[in-house]
Amino acid sequence: MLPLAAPAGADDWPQLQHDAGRTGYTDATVPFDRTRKGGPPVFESAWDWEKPAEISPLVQPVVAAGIAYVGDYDGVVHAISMETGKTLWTCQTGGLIYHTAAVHQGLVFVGCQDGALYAIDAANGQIRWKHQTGRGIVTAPAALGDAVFTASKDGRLYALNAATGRLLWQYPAAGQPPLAPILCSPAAGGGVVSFADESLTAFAIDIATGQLKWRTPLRGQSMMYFWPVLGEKTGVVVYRTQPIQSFHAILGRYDSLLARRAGISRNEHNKLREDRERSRTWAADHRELIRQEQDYLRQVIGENPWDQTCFVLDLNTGKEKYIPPVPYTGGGGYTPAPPVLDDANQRGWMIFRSAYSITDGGYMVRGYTDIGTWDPATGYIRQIDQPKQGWETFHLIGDEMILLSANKDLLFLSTWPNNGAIGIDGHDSYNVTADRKLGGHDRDHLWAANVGSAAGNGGGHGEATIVTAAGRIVWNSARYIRAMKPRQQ
Amino acid sequence: MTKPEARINDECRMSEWPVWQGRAPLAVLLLAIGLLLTILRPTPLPAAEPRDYVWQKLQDNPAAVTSPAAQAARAELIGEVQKMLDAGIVGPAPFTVGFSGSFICFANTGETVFALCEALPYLPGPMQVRVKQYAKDLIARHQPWNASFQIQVGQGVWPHRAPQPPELPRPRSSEVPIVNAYFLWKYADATGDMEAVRAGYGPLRDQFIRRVKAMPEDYAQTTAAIGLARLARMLERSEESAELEARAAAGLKAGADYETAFDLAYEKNVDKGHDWSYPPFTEQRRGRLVVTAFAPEVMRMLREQSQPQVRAHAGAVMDAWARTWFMTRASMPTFFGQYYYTPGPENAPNFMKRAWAGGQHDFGQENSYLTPDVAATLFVIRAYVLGDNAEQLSRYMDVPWTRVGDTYHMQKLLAIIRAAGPPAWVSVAQ
Repeated sequence: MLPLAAPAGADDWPQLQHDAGRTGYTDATVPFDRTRKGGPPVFESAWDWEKPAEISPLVQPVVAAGIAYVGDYDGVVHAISMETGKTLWTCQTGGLIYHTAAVHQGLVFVGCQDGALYAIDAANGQIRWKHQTGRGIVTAPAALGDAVFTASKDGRLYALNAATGRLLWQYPAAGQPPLAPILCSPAAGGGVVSFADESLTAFAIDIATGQLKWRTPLRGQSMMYFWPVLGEKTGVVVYRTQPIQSFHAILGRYDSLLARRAGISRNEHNKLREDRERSRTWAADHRELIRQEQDYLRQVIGENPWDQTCFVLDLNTGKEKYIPPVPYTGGGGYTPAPPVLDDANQRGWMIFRSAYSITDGGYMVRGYTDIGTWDPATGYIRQIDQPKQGWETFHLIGDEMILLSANKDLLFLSTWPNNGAIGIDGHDSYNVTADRKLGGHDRDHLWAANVGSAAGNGGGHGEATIVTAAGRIVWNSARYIRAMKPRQQ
Repeated sequence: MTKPEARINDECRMSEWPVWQGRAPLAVLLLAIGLLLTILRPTPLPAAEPRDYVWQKLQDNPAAVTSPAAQAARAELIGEVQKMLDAGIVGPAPFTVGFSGSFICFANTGETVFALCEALPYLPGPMQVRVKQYAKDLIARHQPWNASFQIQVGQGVWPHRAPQPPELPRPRSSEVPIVNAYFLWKYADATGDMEAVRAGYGPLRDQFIRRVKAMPEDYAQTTAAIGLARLARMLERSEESAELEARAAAGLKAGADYETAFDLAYEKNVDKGHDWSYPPFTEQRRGRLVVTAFAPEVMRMLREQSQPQVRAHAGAVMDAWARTWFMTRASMPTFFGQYYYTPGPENAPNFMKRAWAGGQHDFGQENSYLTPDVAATLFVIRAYVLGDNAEQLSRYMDVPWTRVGDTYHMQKLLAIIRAAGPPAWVSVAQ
């Protein structure tokens, strides 16, 4: 019998990207003043929890029953009150913690570089059990039903009974040769758990039997700490891979391709962007133009398969459903950001590239990068008509990492200096970070933003995805775990 | 917050030759009186003379491999060597890290042969025979004194785990690594292949004379001088050997100032605009081909002459900035960890102080992960310079970077095995 997803609290964010499917979407929300669109911040600080030790930028706070959990480089797991920001307990594990924990059925699960998955009592921080694997664990566990899944650099995926730690199965089975090391956090749902190893092969394992359901080769040089996005209802699993080529070379090549095809020079692109910034209907009015561009991109990527860093696979068969019209979109050679998926409504959001983009309002590092609404069934992406509003310049840095998450009302975009949000309905922009300085481009933004905003520095470390839980938004900044609440008038 | 040097002290044995204690205040005083600095700064060498570092080699002792950590490392080392023997000639491994493009590792014949010959005493007898033949065949095909690369992209067994496109970056044309002189000595010492010595010594010495000033500037050049002096002695060229010994000794003496030597190597090997590495033993890197020499002799000198300095310098990196230094494909560190919030600790190494002053682009932030040489370099420093024991070292082992042919991984395993007992140094003539 397949385990059923145990519903997390509606206001929880209990796993990496919210759920075992890594959708990055929650139906919860945090009330905010919509009249502040394009204006001053809509949130204000609830608390800042100063890190006693360094925390990996890959660690998302996970939240359940009003408590947030993070692990640090000293191997300590911290429980933090979402109400007060005070430490409730700490738990020492056996090694460096590199990725996000999961909280499920009263236990906090965390993988460790010492090779063990730890199950810690969420109430008091006592270690209930641990399961030792053959190498370090640098991935986030996925918990679903009565099981928790962890992937190890020993090249095996382990399914464990969440309550007892009993080994349910491992893939490959004991006695079989291991896979390549696994740096990709598994995603679970639809009766399977899916992950990719460093041979760049994606797998789906039947949760009930531990048997291989399908395997599909991908292309790239690594998974490098990212995750598949799995939609049960949508019936897809999406992988993004780290590119083999220099990221600037890929970005530059597609700059040229897009510009040449559209006949839009850099100056003309600036004009186009200004037009778009004055309009709420430009993209809607030019839907066919955009679709043709995406058909062109599918063709080019299909003819140059090593350019492909986004793979949309059928959840049941592992067959590629279509070539997404998404060239490389990241920075620093990082694995590009996976999409966010509202599985119930079969819609998502994806960073993509287009000559008709509205991007890089502040930096002009790299044009043609944009955020759009992604149709998982067809792969087409609709640009978001999102007029320039007031302070807003957070809107992407075209050659760097942009990570996504969403709640019922807001789509969050996290870059290294800025956190911003777009209203899911209406597409207005909202300032998320604490003050003008952090959201804008002041001279000292490099410093200020890293204290106040995303965890990383430039180039690719945009890993501070915003989490919505317990009536707050919370994220892992460079110095603090920061929580914000609706701004009072 | 634990200071890095305090934390690393907890884990490492102190130097048996604690020279230069209190050097910093002394240096301040000496700076104030100008010329005396250069007079008083020269390195004392109480434990061993430079000549000893040139003419003594590390003696392996397979019988001492009794600890569980060392035994496990030995078993894994045998497995890694077996994979290479099974694969045949292994191709190079490019790593595309981001803005700095691709670095190509494991492509220098000299390094491959060195790693295999270092491992020899710990391999089963029949495997030793096969390894010697493998090394001989490799040298015959890709002479380390003529060809910069043992093999070009697209040839040999692809070492990566994942398939790669054929148009990946090719190695740029590059000079023959002069550290191959040391690697050639190791090969000859292990195999007795004098034919290779006779063929390789002349070209490598010519390269050395042409490229190295009177005194070696960095540890790679010093390593090359040690190797050439030994090769010359093998060929009974006593005059040349003496001259090269003098060069090596001068390099060793100057190299006891670790910070200065490191800064030179950093300047030469790191594109500070977007990259970061820890390259004290690196001969070349910016030209994409990574050539690194982990010579136990040089690390012995550092252990005996400069251990506190190395401890502070490398410890600042391992314990504060790059906490994930030992992890395979670890993300590039974000700023400086705990140091980010301070204007710059007094004990920060020079290259880190420069980074503070240099703005964002001195942080190497537009590359996505640390290149393979970083973990290997810091690991061997822990082993040979700081003196971690086998159990301590095994905590910092991670998975190989490639399916086959990760010679850095093999050298790390060897370091664990050797750390099972105290090092013994014997004359190269023995």
